[in-house]
Amino acid sequence: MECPNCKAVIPKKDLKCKECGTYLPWIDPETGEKRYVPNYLAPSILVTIFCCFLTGIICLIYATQVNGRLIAGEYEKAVQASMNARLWCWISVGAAVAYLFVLVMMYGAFILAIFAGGVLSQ
Amino acid sequence: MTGAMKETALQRLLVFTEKAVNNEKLKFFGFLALSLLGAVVLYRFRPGGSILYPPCPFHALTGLYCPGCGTLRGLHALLHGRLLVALDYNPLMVLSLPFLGYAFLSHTLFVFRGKRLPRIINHPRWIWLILVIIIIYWIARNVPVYPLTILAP
Repeated sequence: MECPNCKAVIPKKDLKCKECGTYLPWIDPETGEKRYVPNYLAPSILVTIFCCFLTGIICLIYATQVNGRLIAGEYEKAVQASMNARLWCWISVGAAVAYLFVLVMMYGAFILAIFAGGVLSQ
Repeated sequence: MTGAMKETALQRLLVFTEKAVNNEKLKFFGFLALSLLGAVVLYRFRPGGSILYPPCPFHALTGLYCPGCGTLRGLHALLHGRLLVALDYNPLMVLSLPFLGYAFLSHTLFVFRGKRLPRIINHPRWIWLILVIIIIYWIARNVPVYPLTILAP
């Protein structure tokens, strides 16, 4: 897709141009149908119950806003909430990966300390 | 000259990352591969008795249960066909699985056919209800009074 304002290329799933901040029109001129604004409810639940729940709650709060704003006709606000929900889902995944990384490093340091200690005490 | 070369290498990496992130099929298969790998590990090794699985940071810090506590043990039980044990570990996880399965099916259709299944939860009221249920569930499973202790893992 192409941005109607600055003609930059917009990825298929995006609803807002990253270059100039223009929103794509709600009704797709090609199909004549309203664009799908994802609410990320399923990933939010996945994150909350399977991953890092504190940020998962933030994802869920944004997810709840998407459909409400769509019904109120506030398309651009709905897209904003949708993008925030996606961002916080990814932050949750990142936090989980960072936590795993820290744990692995701690295990590594622990094992290393045992070996080093064994060598030094001799 | 080396500076310019480094910049182009960085730019290439950025472009490559952006392409990978925007490639729905790549993301789909990545997610699928990770899930299958997770399922195999989870089937083979029992959580709670192995150092393979990380402890829940919230539980380790506060001693309280979060809405996700018991999920791994519950999934392990489910993979071995013990539904009642899974319900005992984390009932909300089991209840959310049909919805997550539907969402996964819908996303699969979107990735390969460009179409989605109709949204089953459309009205904002139901989404708010899910949020409220999760928060109430979180509080309830930490209350040490008999009927609520069933919810704890």
